[in-house]
Amino acid sequence: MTTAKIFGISRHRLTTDGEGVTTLVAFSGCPLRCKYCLNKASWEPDKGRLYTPQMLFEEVKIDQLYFLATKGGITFGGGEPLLQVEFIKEFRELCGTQWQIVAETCLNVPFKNLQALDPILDGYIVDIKDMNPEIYKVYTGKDNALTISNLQWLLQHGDPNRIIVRVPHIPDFNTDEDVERSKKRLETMGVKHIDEFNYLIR
Amino acid sequence: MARGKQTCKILKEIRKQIAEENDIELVISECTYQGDCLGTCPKCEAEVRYLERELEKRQRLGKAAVVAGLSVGLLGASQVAMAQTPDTIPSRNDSIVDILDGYVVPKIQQSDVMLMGKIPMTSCYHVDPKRYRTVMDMFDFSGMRNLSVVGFDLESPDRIENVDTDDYVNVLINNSLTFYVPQFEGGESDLLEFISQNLGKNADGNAYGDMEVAFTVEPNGKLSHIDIIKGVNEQLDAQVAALFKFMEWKPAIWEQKSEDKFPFACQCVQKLHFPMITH
Repeated sequence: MTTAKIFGISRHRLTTDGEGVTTLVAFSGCPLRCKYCLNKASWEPDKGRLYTPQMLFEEVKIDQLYFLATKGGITFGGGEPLLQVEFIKEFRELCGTQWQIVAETCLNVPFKNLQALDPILDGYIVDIKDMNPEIYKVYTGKDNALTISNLQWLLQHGDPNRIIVRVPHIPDFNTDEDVERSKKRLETMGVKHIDEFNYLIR
Repeated sequence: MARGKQTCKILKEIRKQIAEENDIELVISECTYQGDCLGTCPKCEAEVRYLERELEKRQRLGKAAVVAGLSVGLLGASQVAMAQTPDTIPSRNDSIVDILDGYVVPKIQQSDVMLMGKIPMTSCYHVDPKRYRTVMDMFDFSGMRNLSVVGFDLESPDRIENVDTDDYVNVLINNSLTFYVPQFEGGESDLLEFISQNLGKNADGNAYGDMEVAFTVEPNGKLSHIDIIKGVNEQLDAQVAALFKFMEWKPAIWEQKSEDKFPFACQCVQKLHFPMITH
């Protein structure tokens, strides 16, 4: 039986993460260790409540009318949703094709995961951090080569309009010039939608 | 307009569009609640369930149910708009787990209660991860901050839904407030016993299904605004509603430093299952 730990479910998100009315489902477990991570509890794969795809579907389908009317659906975040391949595939079988399923991802996941999920995902919100490998490594503790190659593959295999890439200004880690360089490189790669924003440090 | 109220307004408009498009009679009354909310409440949820039932009826009669894409225009700020908007600042609204670090959990003593109330103060919850249930709370920290709806689950100490406020964690850690949800005298088992006994022979013995009764427990323990938001059948619904009119509950109370206890009005939803099994 496929299960996953989910540490949060947030309903009725209107503009935050995806089209229409969405419910954010946050998986536990993340490959990155970002210094300003808002959800540090998501780092641990064992934290959260254990769900089967059926349990999750039963819980979130109360908003089906809103999803259908607004072409919204589920945004899987986390943590890192692309680590939950079987769970999301089974969930898609339960919810059908009318719900939009979007992944809020760092893309720093094995390529086979992306390849397996791409046919059933409607969109991606990619948190790219910074395109500079050194900045990325200092901020996340990981290399970004996999992120970039996965993004490149996504851009070449499907409509680029299904991808939003978030480019943050990260205090003490990157500069405005770094952000500009990241944006330029992303545009060169074929990214159509860039969401530039500031991390708010509290 | 606070985020919750704005969400409520949009969701209400979506329901209205669905109803109009499908010739479903839906009277949407103005919400009188003054504080912020997370965009939904038992009354809003009941409207959604009603629409679902009406749409199902239409489909059974061979009529088309028009829903898909009906309200897309309402949400102009979609993915593309988001992508083009600079200076988007992530806030704690985007975070769910910040709150979990401190295991901030209210002490709740009753299962399956959906709670809404207005806490007229500027303090916060007490933490007790051992005892809590699924609950929705609506607060108004007037003049201080908006604190909206949180949900907790007994089985999972670190699951919180629908958290929507700023600086929430700090408030929770720095203050100590315990609040108690309304409770039938003797607890839930006594409530079920009370209902079962009083329905007695008049009850429809063949009735089967889940019922949800919405009501407000006033500070004096009397119940008001009783509404069967999910019914089983007309006769049983009326009988149960009549019973609730006679009940008295322990009101919701917030408590600070154990000596200050203040009852406040709370809106609740009690789930009942028929046939009732009582001990």
